[in-house]
Amino acid sequence: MKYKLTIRFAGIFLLVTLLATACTAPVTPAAAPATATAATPPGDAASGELVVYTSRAESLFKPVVEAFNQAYPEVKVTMLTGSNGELAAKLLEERANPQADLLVNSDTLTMESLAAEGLFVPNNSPAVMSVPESYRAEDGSWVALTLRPRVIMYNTDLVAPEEVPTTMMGLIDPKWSGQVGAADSRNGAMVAQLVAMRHLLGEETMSAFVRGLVANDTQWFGGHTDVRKAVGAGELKLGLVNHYYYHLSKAEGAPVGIVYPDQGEGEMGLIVNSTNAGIVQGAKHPELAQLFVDFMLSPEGQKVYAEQNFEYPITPGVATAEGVPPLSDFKLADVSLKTMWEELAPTQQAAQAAGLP
Amino acid sequence: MMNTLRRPPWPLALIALLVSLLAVTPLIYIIFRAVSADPATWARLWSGQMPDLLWQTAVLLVGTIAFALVVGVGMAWLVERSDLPGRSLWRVLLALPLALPGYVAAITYIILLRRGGVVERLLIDYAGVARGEVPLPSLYNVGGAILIIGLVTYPYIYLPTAAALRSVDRSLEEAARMLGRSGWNAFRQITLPLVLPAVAGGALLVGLYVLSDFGTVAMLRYRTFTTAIYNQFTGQIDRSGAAILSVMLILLALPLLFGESWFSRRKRRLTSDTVWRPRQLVKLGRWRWLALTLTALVVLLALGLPLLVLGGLSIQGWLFPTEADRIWGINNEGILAFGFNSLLVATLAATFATTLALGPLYLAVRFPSRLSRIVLTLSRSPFALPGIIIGLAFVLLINRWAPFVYGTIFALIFAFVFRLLPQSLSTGESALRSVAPSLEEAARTMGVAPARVFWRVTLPVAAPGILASWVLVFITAMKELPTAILLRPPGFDTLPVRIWAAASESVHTQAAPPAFLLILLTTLLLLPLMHSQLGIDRAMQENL
Repeated sequence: MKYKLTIRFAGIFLLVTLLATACTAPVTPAAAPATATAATPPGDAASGELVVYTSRAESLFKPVVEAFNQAYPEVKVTMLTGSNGELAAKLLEERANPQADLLVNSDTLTMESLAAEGLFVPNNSPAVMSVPESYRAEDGSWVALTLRPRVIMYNTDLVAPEEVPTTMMGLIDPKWSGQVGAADSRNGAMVAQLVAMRHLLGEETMSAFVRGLVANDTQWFGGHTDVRKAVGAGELKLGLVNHYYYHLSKAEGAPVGIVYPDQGEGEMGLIVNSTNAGIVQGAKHPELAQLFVDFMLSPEGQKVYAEQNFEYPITPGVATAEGVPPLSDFKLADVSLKTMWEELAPTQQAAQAAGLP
Repeated sequence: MMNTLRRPPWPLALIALLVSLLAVTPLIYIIFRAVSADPATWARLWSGQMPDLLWQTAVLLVGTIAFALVVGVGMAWLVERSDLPGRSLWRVLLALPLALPGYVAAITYIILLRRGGVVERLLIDYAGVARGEVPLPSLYNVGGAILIIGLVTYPYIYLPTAAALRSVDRSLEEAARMLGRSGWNAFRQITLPLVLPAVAGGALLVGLYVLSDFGTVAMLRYRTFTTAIYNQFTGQIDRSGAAILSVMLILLALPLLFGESWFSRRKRRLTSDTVWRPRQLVKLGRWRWLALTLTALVVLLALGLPLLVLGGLSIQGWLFPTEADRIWGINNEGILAFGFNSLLVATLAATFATTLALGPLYLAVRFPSRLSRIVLTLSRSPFALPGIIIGLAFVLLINRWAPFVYGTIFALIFAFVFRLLPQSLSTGESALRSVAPSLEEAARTMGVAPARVFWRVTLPVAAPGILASWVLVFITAMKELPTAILLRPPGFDTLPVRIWAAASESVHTQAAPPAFLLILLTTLLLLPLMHSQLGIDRAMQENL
């Protein structure tokens, strides 16, 4: 009996201690801010391990790394892939104990909200500062690498060009019921588009857009590769994607066409998102991270993105791939995603309420 | 003498308590996070996603259990009670899908059935069907999820049911027949009640699998609690939504968990093998060939096709590597490195978990009391926790208390041990129960110290059962996806992580080589154990 009691007490004591520590353990404050450029810029002899978290497709990112290694063979680039949200969550959880040197992601809003949390180191390297200010943080703590507008792609065997909707709102026309593919709330580019639409057209219209898509029996996918494949294979007539998915399908020989939506008088224009890089606060090798960012902004690095994935280079003077019309041909939405991260949470909630899966 | 045996030595009690506490740490942490969440978040989730999630999860749960019951019980009866041709071969083959993760089965069927996939190409090339007119069933719905999860979970019902059918005493059935009962009546009144606890226990295990599965439903785009938790975690800066949904999921799993432990206790009480005689086989007659076809179909769908499709694609990638294959590093030393990583983590984690579990188990088996029972049930409860929750809790806990191990493989192994501990606690119990207390008492009367008795008597006798438990835990570790996604150090990918990465980029053919290597390793490990004469297969079936 006495034994039982002792054990019971020991158990309760341990439980209480455990709970108490769980509630009170202090979070180690993040390391004092440092500027990446304070370190001496390394020359060709740069060496060490650079840890990159990236949401870019591995098959696309590896060629960039390989090109980088041509120039800097002594730098070992270790990457960890995941979705935008996954990596953001990971970076936030490990901020007292950073593992990554660099984040390369594909959503401006995520980047901005992480920057607002103080996750990145300011970076005033000339390559970063030469990027237009609307596509980087003021202090360079993140910088865009490439641009990608939201477009509508269609199967040319199934839809005549003049039938294709010319606006985003056109996608909710009941005549496209069951014929549209789009990415769901897991996808940063889709969410960013909704944030922009809410900003430009108001929450009611944005919610109506989501409700319309849902009511239209839209096929939801986790990513755009599935959307473009479904449209290319004729499984669906229309797909809501980033522009390069059209080019990727086209390059494969699929019967696809593209519409740059909302170009008319009084319409909102193209919503443009970016892929970005930011050096992580507390990184073990900020100098290598900086080297890599500078490389990705150099014509050589930009060419890989432009040619292999048909993206719009951010660095002026680097040509787009053949068949990709310059962005200056289009009316762009009068909105900068970088200033809108505060609208992310209300948009997510409204979109969720409207039924976005 | 009896008195001293009843009272647990304090080191054992302490170890048992510590292990149990460790096992429930993630659970406590998640509940704490959920309770301290903003009530507005609760309200938003409750009125927003919750009804849909509950409905979707319930449909999947009921459907999968029903499907697995039909397959599991049907196959067990055919193999144990009928004159099905090739019984001894089918008996082994039918158990092997246990080694197959659901997401690997999902990838197989996506590769086969998607647009532009294997089946469509074959039909266009050889059957002359026009492109776009090929009738292909869609996998991305509840039906697809039920079929695929059912195909990898029916062994949870098949194995214990077969074991129960085999152990039912024939003289009982004969007695019923002699007393004038018809064959059906004898089955209903004698065999069924004896087998039912095994069937029900297995069905509840299938239910727990469904609730905690992440990879399969994520790949089939079916929304359940686990995928919703994941979306909450990755889509929002505020992580309390994930914790709230986790608590809901735990509440859903609790009845299954308690039911399972209730049935597994009944199972032990009802089967005796004192005067046991082998069962009589039912002659199938002309139904034999139909039965054979059905059995072969189950084995083909659950085991044959995945091996064929994934193996074929792997060999193709190895013989004729494309640029994509080179980048994904699947046809050279890359794949071997991923395989090595998986083996390393799974071996260490399974060994630690099995060893740690012995403490609470020995306490519960040898010193039964309400307290030891509570300690055991408590430490088993995270069995129902999906890896995604364990991984999540550990990212948070390790960063807070042991930041120096974060981002190393130690953190990964540590989290794996916790993920596996509840399973070790469930599967290891019967191993220790199989040791007759009289053996230990005999050693004790000869003056051997208790610790030495455990080492020299208990462990050797329980070894086959413990080994079987280790194998099951090891296989779970090899298959584990979400914990690895969340806690792997950069550059240390395991096979499941590679499969996941390829599948999330929709390049399913690149997922084939790691998936093939994974199921090759797990089935090869399971196979000799199924055949073994050591009694391991029996221990394993009783463990389930």
